[in-house]
Amino acid sequence: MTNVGIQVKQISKHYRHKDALKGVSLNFAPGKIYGLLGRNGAGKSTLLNIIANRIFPSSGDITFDGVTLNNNDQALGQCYLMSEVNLYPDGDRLERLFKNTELFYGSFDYDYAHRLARKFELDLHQKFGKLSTGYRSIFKLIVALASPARYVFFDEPVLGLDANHRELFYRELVDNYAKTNRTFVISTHLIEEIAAMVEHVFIIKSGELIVDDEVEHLLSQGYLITGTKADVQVYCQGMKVLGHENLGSLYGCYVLLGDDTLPTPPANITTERLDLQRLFVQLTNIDEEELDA
Amino acid sequence: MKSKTMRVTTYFFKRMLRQILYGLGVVLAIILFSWLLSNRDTEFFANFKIQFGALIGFFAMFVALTPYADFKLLIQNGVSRRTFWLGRTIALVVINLLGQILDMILGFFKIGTPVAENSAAWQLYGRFFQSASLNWLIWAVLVLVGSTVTVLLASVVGSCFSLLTKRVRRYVFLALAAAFFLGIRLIAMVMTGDAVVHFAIWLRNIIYFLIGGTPNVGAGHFNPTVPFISLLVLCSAALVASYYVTQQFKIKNE
Repeated sequence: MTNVGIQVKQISKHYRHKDALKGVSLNFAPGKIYGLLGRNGAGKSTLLNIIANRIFPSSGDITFDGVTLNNNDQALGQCYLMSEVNLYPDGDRLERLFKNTELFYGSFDYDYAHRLARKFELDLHQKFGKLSTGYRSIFKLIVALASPARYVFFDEPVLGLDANHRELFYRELVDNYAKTNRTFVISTHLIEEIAAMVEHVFIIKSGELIVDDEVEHLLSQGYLITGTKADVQVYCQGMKVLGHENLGSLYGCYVLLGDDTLPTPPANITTERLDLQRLFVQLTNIDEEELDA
Repeated sequence: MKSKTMRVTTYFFKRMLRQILYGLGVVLAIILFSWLLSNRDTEFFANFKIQFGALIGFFAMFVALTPYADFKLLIQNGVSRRTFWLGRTIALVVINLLGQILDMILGFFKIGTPVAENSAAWQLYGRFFQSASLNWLIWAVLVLVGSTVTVLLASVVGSCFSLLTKRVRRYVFLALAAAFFLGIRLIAMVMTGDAVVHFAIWLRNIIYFLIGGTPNVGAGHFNPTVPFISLLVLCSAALVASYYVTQQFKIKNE
């Protein structure tokens, strides 16, 4: 079985007081940009850490091109996880860490890494431990982009980065994707910033996968229906309502259509497509009933 | 050996060698400083004897005690636990053996300490065979296997502690210290009179068995067979244990 990508099969992770993941199954195919979204504590980092073999799942399996990923050097050598956690030795200089990446991954694009370092104004003679939070993120982003890994996972990649550096990173990521056609998985809270580049989205809520869809398809299903409360409620009958809110004298209802098409609205009703962030917020809001329970 | 295992082993070898040389440098600096404090006593170095092999083994043991930092870096770089363990163990054992062999060579050429005559293994088994070269060979094998076991056991201990969080590690240290003192106190309380004598005899017999001697055989003529086999068994057990514990390593949130 070749080029199947990474298959996550029924992964669960239990901690003493919490089920971090509950039977999550999903696929990362080659040559795509994925968004892995979820609120704080939803289980995104846990999932990425399990994929990178940093921690173990309580049950389930992860395969890379059909072969288990656990203790599999060949598969692990095709994955790079850039995360908030700092696993590099504080005392090592950045140039040495580049060399280590080359040593373990078999190759490393030094020219590209140096070019990126100049763009981000990162001094490569420094020790990793001396870097600020933002520059640690930048260093890890550079390693991720210049490494030969076919699957690159970013867990909160822009932590501590200012707006200019974030913009620069997104540009470089898209450019790198266009040139290498690698798979990138981005897990972030800044959904608006990545919405334009993500092709497929996974949304995790309380350890469960609730959305596994192409972004375009998902966005074609989410609408905000506004009008008077009575009109909106009549119009939205039979639709999957994600949430509602009062907008001054108007009433708004967030709906997800499934594969149906939106019926032509009457004149007193307006419909508006939702962007990824607003759809995400509605999908992952905790229901009032849940809170009461 | 697979190329990745080779690369990981080379990495560990260089890194450990650097750490050990740094440690040796500190020791030499202390010696030099002591010499300067002694008003550059001309007799200072004439009486000075240093065993590089023992020092290298000592520092290798310390390196073996701290595997978690290496694990973090390697798992970040897509290296499996199996390859991490293999590369690290090979590098540790090779560095330790090179240190011991260096000591033997220096001893052979009468540079530094005449290692064999001063070592415990030589004192116990150095005259067991009629042939001097056979005695020397057995001594060398015992020293090499013995030091390897020490390094591997340190690796097992370090790996076990790496599984624990900082806080739990502190509690374990305290618990071990308390258990040690309480254990001694308990033995002292329980054992009186004959019991102490019986225990001492039992302990002496066990020790004699493990080191291959009997009370009526003089030191130097002890039989090296049992200690050699014991060391090999211990070596295998340490290898299995360190592999098993390493397989449980995971990134901690601390």
